[in-house]
Amino acid sequence: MRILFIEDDIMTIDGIVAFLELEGCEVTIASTAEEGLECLRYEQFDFVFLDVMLPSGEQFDLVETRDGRYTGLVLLEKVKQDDVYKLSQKSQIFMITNWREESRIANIARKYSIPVLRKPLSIETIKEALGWTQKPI
Amino acid sequence: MTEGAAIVDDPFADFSSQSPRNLDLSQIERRANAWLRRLREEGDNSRYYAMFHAKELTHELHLIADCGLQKDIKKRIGEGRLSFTKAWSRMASSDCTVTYLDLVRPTADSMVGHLRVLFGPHPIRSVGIATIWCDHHDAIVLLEAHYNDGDLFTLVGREESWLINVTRITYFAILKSLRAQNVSDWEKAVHELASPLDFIYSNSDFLHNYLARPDIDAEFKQKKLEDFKLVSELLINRLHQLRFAYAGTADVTLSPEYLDLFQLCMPITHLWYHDASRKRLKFYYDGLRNQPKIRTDKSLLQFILFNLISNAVKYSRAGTQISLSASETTTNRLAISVRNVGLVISEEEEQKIFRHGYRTVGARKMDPRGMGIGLSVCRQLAERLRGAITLKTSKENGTIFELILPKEFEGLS
Repeated sequence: MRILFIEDDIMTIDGIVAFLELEGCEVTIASTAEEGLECLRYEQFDFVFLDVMLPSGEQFDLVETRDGRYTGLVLLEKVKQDDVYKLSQKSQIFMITNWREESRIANIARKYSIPVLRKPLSIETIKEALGWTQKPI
Repeated sequence: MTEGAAIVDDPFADFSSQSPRNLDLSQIERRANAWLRRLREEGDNSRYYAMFHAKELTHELHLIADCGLQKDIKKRIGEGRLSFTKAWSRMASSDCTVTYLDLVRPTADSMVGHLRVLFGPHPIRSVGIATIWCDHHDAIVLLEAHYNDGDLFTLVGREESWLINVTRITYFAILKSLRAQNVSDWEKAVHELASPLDFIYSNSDFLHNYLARPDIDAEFKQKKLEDFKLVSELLINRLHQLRFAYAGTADVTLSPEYLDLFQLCMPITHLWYHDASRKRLKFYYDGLRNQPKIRTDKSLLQFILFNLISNAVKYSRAGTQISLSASETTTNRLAISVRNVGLVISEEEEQKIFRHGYRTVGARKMDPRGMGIGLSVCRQLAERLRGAITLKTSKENGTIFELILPKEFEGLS
């Protein structure tokens, strides 16, 4: 199983990545939107976990909102609309965020038709996302 | 404005009826500047009052209004939001080209240049300065300037309603901008603290499920437990940074001791092992190994180095090196340098980089979450240790932060 994390703060996913790798998954981490789009363009992943708040990268022309925040949402729009990311349009994408406001999270989930997972991420949450609820550790 | 002279119009009449939520500080400032220029052109007086809003204890002053309302401001002190201190000084000469006022150590000479900007070429003979701190971030400065030697201690309240309005309006506008700043600061602070806590949470979860499994490598488990310790230290450092940034360093008790710089820096660089490995960064410790020991406060020096090294790791280009070195400068001073190659800092940004809350354009792009308080705290702490911190930056040589400290710290706290 191939999994991509697009997350600049690796500390927040360290334990989860360790768990997934021990369970035999191939995990890739991209720390900017630029790197993430590069991965999504040329590689196929079964699951993608994408941080809402992400730096765009040094040379990318993504629209930045409020100094690079919410770049994750811009990336998501790009992947869904641009055929250049054909390989990734069948990946199951999850947004991850440390927002606490339910209404804000619900808006994102509704607008982008995407499941949103709140940090801190637990192993149970990830297992559920991957459909492993019956799989023992 | 002579005593008792009638004021023809109230330049702030339309602000009085506005809700504090709608107050725009920059609009008030523009109105006040225009009005003051007009007053100066119309009359000549031996006594001028001015009130300044100094943002975040920086060296820039923004003229808000001209008033002498010490009495009204004193009323607001009772509300507990303002503290009142006086720093009176009498100027020695009127020849000064300094355009910035140092609020931390106000001097009469530095006031002269600024008064010239405000009041034109009138020879100012004496000046009194009263500064009022608001929530550690902001200051309202009242000043009284005289043509002739006279009694400085005569800032008195005025009864004219427009002066009272100006003070109230600017007070609310300042509070409003402070509140917005505070919310933004707290959002960022939560983010900075949540990150290491997320690590602890997700790894606790992981270890809970995997620690007992015999097929998991013992060395792997040991490394994971060591990571816990590293991240906990990182979290503690971030908390202290917030404490220094918002509560200041005045109450920190210093305990100087003899320190080996190499032994001090090694554990700090190890805290950034993961990020440094991911970016293929190498640490070089030339010049640290054979230096004589420095006598200073260990925890403050560690804290400064923690910040400088963390910035170097964060903003270095992948595959480059971070150099730590030390050398003697003048008698009894040591310059400790942290050099990295990566983010380029412009000359204009160099001037502002030590300000509380300031972040360069490049830094904001690379790390949207940062609070911009680390270097401001480093400067405060360096001054507590009777030293200084400087920055040199160029495309050829990279970025070098230099901490200059006395080799033997004299005096405690």
